[in-house]
Amino acid sequence: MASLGWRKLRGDLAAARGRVALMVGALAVSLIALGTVLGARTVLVRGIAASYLSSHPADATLELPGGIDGALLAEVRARPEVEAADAREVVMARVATGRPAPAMLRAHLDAMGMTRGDDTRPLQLFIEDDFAARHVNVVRRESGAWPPPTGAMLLERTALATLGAREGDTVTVTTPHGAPQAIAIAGVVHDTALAPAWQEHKGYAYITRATLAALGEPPVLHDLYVRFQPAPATQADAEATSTALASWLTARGHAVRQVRVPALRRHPHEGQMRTAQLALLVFSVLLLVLSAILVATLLGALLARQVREIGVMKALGARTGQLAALYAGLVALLGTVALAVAAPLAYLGARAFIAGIGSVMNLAIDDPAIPPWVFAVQAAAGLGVPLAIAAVPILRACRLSVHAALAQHGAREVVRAAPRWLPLAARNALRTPVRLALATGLLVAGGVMAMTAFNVKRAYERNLERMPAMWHYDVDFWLTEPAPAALGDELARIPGVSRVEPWAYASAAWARRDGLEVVHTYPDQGHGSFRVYGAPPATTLATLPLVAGRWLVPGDSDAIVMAQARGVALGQRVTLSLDGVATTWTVVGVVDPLPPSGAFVTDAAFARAVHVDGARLFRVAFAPGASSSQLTAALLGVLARGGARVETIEPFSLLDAALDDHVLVLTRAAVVLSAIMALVGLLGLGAAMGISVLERTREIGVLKAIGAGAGRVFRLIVGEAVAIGLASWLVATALVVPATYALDRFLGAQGFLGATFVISPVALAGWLVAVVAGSAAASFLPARRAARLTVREALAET
Amino acid sequence: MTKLATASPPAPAGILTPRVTATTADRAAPAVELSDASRTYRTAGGPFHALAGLDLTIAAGELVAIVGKSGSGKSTLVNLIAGLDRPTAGRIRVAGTAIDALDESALAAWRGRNVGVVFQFFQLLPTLTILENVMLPIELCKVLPAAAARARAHELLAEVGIADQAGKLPSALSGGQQQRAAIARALANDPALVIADEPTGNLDSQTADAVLGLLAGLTRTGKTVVTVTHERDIARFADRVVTLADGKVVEIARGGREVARG
Repeated sequence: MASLGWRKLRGDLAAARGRVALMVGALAVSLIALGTVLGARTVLVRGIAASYLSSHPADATLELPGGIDGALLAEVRARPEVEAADAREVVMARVATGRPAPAMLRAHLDAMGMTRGDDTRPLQLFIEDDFAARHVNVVRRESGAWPPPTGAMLLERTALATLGAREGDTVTVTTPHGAPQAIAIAGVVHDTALAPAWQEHKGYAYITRATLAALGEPPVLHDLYVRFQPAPATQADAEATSTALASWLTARGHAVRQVRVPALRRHPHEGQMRTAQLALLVFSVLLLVLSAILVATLLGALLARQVREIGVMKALGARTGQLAALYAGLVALLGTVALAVAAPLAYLGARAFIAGIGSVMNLAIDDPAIPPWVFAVQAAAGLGVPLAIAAVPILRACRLSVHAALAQHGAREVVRAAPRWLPLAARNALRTPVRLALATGLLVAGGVMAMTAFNVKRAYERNLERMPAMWHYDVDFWLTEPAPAALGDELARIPGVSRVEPWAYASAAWARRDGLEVVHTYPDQGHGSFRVYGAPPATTLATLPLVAGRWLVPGDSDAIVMAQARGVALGQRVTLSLDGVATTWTVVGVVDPLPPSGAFVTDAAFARAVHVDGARLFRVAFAPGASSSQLTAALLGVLARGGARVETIEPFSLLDAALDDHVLVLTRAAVVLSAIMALVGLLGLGAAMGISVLERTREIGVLKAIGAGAGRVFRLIVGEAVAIGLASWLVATALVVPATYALDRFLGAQGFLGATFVISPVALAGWLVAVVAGSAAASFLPARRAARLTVREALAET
Repeated sequence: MTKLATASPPAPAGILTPRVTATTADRAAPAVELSDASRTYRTAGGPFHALAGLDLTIAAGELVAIVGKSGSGKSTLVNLIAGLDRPTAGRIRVAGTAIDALDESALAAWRGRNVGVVFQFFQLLPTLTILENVMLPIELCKVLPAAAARARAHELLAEVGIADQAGKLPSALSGGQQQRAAIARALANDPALVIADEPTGNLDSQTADAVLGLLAGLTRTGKTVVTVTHERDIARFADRVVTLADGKVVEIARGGREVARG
């Protein structure tokens, strides 16, 4: 059956080239998406861990208030359990670049009513002596000087965009104890152990001790970064080894204020990245299955057109096996064409995706090679799956008796009558319900994904929208050491300042018998941190939603309100180490703030407990319409004259922006994935409509013969496609409720989301418009063909 | 294919040149035998008995016309004889082969070599040229290599008078030309039996006569022709006219040719 059979099929394909092109296009797009997503995910899963581990992250950081000199460092390095150790210092500063804030930040500032011109941004300085001999938390040189010369700094590459700076710029850096200093950006590095600067809304810079001294800070290194050998198997193992090391240091007269043991060799945003990867994997599988079903449906419809010719060939002597092989070859050919188009594009797409995610998430993907099995999966998807699914309609058509085939019995889905109260277009769509269901599967899946993504995004935004109801300040001034609380009264007298509240705070940990303070904070001193705040009990700048119990009242001596239950019950006594001081409290309430961290005691009780008076945090609210930049400068002046050392200034708007940006990657990925799914679905719908028109050519001829004009026929076909789109929207809308609930629960467990369930009317309406417009567009060509048919041509169709 | 010496006089122009002459011995063995053949279809309204216990014998070299009203079972009968359908009960022997006992694959192979089918609506494959349509049965049954198959197809098209249409698609031909092409295709593998189901149903009377003449001419080569027709004039072309009603044979009459032979 070699040459004539193939010649026949070539002619058939040429006669139906539009529909075939749509079908191959749908398969190719799905293969491109599959290859891109699977290839990228495979590399990223491998690369995220490798990227972080390539920095040789510290298993623990020990803070020694007395400082670390070379001799002590050598002693620590000689310890048998220590694989490597470095001495560092981390100082929060502020930087002014002289350039406008980046667009993303400007949008946030504008949204919060903050004027432009305030380009002072947080800058986290990492200080060490010997950059060339870094063994722990290693950074990679990207460009420029190495190590940083005195009076200059190296900037982490993601901080360039966040700060609006460039290599070679001279910026103004202000540390808590120093005056503003001009510092050159001498080079750029890549620190794979840090979350991207754009997500944290702060810059990262690397300087020597000499430069630190020039900035007015004591040039002392207090942080001991340590890696252990053998490598700890669990965080608990790392904690045990680090506390033993801390005890050894203490015994030798080196006090250890805090031991920080982060999640073991795990990037601070690994949970977020793994969630995105899981979404990509689920999407890949879903797209593969649905695309294969779509292709099989369209092939089945094409085969239905071939049934009579199959019958003729059987009458002429063709055997079932010959015919099945011929049509299987056709499917393989179409799959091969789709694969030939998709494979190189998927490869390029995957590489671009990897590079994009790597850049956005600040990863170092040293091995971007896509493993061969990904291509094998693509080939299986492009060839094997369509063949497997098309085998059913092929064998069904080829096994028909000649009589049945010539009478066109059995190969087609039975046409059913739909309720007469439905419009004609809807009834036409319901004539073949199985094909309808299969053709709309992708549209439904795309709709569920898109609407769910928007719902979750809206839920997250609504969660964030709770923040202004919780926090009523405009700017936080975080100090390095406590300052007199009375300074707040001076701050409040500045015109334009509405309210000022002095708060205390300390990093906290569950108290241990050995007196050590062990926390699970990362070296950036942000992720994993837990603080206890000493708040005015009658605070007007915080109204935190109560989950259980009560808020603080004046006179509370040992009451504590937890931001999360953390496994404690109301009335339970808890012992916390606050800045190294063991304190005991009674849990009187649980609140649900954003960000969801921290615990609260009264300022008076805090001062009594840690034996330190004063405020380490001034919360300031501005009067409406006040200029934040001018007020910030005035406030800084008062604080400086009062002897307060400002570590960082944090506008409330930045906090909101940072929280929003933490799920930006997830929501954008979900939107892109759903758009791809919808595109494939619309391509499939276009092909299905083309086949439907072909099957009903005679019927269309009859309609025209009895008076239907071209416009009426056109609207009928488009109406049918729109009816299918509407049907897919209805099904998707029904499924989006449980899907949104399930995703909310999942993200909540990952710590991304509070208990907020939102079904966004905007998402529902938006998808309705998109799918109706897309369905109409997908049916345009088949509708035009139907409208242009003459009665003679249509009735002559057999 | 067996080539025998031509014994009969040359055929008139437009009629197929005889290739073989049926011998008396060949004429003696029946070409088609149906014994108590029945065919029942399941429909939404219950079982429909298209044929009921039908007995019929057709001799080799005969041209038999099957006539009757719509729904009498004519097409069902010829489909069973051609192996295009299977009987619900009874036996069918064609050219000595019990075709009701063959499986689908064997039946298809047998059919390709032993039966030529001419359909009412021609059923030419629309994306193959006329020449390729005629070559298709040869390729399906692997009877000849490609070059020989092409030559044979050209020959057949010349014999039915449309050699100049060989390179065209079926849609470019008139109904009569398409039916001639279908006849050429039916003869591609030199079958002993030719089945024609309403071969003139879509043709004008002049063309219909010509097609019937072509079919009648096939019997001179020893082929057996069974045709379903509504043509009133079929009697003068046929050896016998079998009339069906309600799935049964109600009359077998001598045709004009039988009468002419005396």
